[in-house]
Amino acid sequence: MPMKKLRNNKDFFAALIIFAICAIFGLQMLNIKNETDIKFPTFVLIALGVMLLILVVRVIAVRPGTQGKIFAEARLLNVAIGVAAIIVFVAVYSRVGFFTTAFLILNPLSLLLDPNFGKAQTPKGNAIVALKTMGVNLVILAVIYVAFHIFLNVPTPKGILI
Amino acid sequence: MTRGPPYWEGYMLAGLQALLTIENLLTMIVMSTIGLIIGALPGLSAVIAVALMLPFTFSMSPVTGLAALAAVYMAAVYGGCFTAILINTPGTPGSIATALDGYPMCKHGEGIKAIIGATLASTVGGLVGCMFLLLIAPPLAQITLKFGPPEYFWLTIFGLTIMASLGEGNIVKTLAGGLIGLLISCIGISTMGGAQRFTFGTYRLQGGVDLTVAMIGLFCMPEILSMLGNPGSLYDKSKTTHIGSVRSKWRESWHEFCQCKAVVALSSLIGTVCGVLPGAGGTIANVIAYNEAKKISPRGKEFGTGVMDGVAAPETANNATVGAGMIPTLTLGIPGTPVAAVIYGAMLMHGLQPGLELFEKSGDIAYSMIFAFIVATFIMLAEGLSIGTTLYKIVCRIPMKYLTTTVLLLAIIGSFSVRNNVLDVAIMVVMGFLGYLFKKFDLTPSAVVLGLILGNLCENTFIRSLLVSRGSSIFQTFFCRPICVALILVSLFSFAVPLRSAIKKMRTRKAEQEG
Repeated sequence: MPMKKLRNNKDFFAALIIFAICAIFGLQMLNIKNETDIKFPTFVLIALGVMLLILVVRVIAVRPGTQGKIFAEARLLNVAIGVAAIIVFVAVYSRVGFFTTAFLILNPLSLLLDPNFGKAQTPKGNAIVALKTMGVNLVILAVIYVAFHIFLNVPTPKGILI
Repeated sequence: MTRGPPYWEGYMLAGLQALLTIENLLTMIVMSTIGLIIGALPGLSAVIAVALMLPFTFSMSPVTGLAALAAVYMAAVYGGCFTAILINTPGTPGSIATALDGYPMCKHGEGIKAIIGATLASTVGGLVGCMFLLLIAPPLAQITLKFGPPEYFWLTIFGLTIMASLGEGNIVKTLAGGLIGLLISCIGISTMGGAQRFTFGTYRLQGGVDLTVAMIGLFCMPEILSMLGNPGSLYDKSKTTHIGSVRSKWRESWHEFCQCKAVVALSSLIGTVCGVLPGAGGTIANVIAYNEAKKISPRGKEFGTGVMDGVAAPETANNATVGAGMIPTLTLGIPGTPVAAVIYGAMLMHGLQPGLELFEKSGDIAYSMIFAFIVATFIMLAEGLSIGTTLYKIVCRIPMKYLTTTVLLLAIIGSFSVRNNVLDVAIMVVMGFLGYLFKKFDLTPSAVVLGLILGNLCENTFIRSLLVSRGSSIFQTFFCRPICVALILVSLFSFAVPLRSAIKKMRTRKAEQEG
C-alpha cells in the first residue's frame, strides 16, 4: 500500500491508537490475580480487539471515505508549542504556585494567538501589544483568584508562591 | 382512620403560602444566580453548587433553606448548558449531549438561538419533572423498587447501545471509543473484588479516573488545541459580529422550539424516568434523550451539525431529572442522586425525616419544597433569558487569545477542585491529548465518556446479578424477568436503528462508486 495513502488514512491511525491501548491494558492485566476482577476487563479487551481487527481489514481494503487530510490546522507549530506549554505548566505549578505559573505560561500562549504581535513595525509597537496582553491576563487571573479562592472557597494548588 | 384528599390539599395550600413570601423569593433569586454561575463553570457540578451553598441555609428557616437549595440545584443543572454551547465544554456532566449540537449552532452564529432553546427546554423539562414530583410521586417510586441488579444491568446495556448512534456513520470506531471508556472506568480499586486494576504501580491511581476530570479533558482540551492551531476558528466572525436583536432571535427560537414538541415531550419522560431511578440521573438522561430524539426527529439526520432538536432534547431531560430525582428521596427516604443526598442531609439538619413520614408529619414543608422547585424553574427561565443572551454577546467579543487561556485555566482549576488532587490535572491533560487524537481519527470522545459513565454500574450490576442468581439459572435471572425482557427489546431496537442506517449508507456509497 502506498505510504502516502496510509498517511492520510484515519482508520489506520485509529487502529494504531486502539492497538496501543490494548497492549498497555493487556500487559497491566497480567498483574490482576483475582478472578472476579478480571472478567469484565477481559470481555472489554476482547471486544476492543474485534473492533481493531475490523479496522485493520478496512485499512487493507482501503475503504473510500476514510481518506482525508487529518491535521488540517493552519498552524501546527502553535499546537506543538501549546502542548509543550501545558506540559510545563502541569509539571511546575504545584511547586511554584498556580497563579504565578499561570501568569508566566499564559502570556506567551496569548501572544502566540495574537495576530498583531510581531507584525507591528516598531519594537515599541510589539512591546505595547505584549504589555497590554500581560495586563489583561493579570486582570483575568485576579478575577479567577477572587471568584474561586475568596468567594467560592475552591482550593487551588499552592507552591512556594501563590 | 384514613385521611382523604382534603388533608393533602390543606398541606399543599399551607406549603404554597409558606413559600410565597418576599424573603423566600429574594433568597431563591440570589441562590439561583449563584447556582447558574457555578453550574456554568466547567468542573463545578450541581453537587458542588448545592454543597457549597448548604452551610448558608443552616441559619435559615426550613422552608427558606430548602427553597434556596432547590433554586441552586435547578439553576446549576441548567447552567451547564452555557459553556457546552459557548465553548464546547459541558459545565456539568448532565450537559454532555448539549455540546454536540449547541456548539455547532454557536459556531454558525446561532448561539443566542441555542441558549434560548436550551432555556425553554430546561424550563419545560424542569416543570414536567416537578409535576411528576407533585402529583404521582408515590406510585412512581413504588415501580423503581422493582428494579434489581439484573434490571439495572440491562439498563446499562441499553445505555451502551446508545454509543452506536453517537458517531457519524462509523459504528466500529464509535464502539471502540465506548469500549476504551469502559476500560478507563476499570482503573483503580475494583469495587467487587478489591483488586488494584490498571494503576500502573502507583497508589495515586487507586481512586480511579474521575468522570468530571475525564470529561473536561476529552471535551475542553481538544478545543483549546484546535483554537491554537486555527486562531480564528472558534466562531464564524462574519455571523457572530452581526448577532441582531435578541427579540428577533427570540421569535425565531420560539418558532424552532415549537417544532420540537415531540422531542421535548419524549425527553421529559426520559428525564423523569431516569430521575426516579436511583443512580441514573441527568448524566445518563441527557445522552439517552439525545439518542432517542435523533430517531424520532424529522431532522434526525442533521444531528451534530447544529439543530434545535439536538439542544432541546438533552436540556429537557437533564432538568426533568431534578424534580423527578427528588421522588425517591422525599417519598422513600432513598436519595437517588448525589445532589439528592446533600439535600437529604440538609433536611435532617432542619429536623425533617425524609420518607413517607415527611408527608404525614411535616406535609406543609414537604409541599413547600416541591413548589419551590416549580418557582425555581420560572426564576431560572427569567435569568437564563437575560443572563444567557448577554453572556453569548460577551463571549463572542472576547479576543481568542484571552478566551483560550481562560478556558485552559478553568479546565485546570475544575479538574483540581474535584478531589484536590494534582494528579487529576495530569489525568485531565492526558485525556485531553487523547481526546484531540480521538477527534482527529473519528474515535468519538462522547462515546468514551458514555463508556466511562456506565462502566462501573455495568460491571457491578453484572456481578451482583450473578451473585443473586445463585439457586436459579443465569438465563432465568437475566432473560426471564419482565422488566429485563422489555429492556432487552429496547436495547436491540436502539442498536439496530443506527446499524441499519450505517449499512444503508454503505450500500449507497458503493452504488455511487459503481455508478
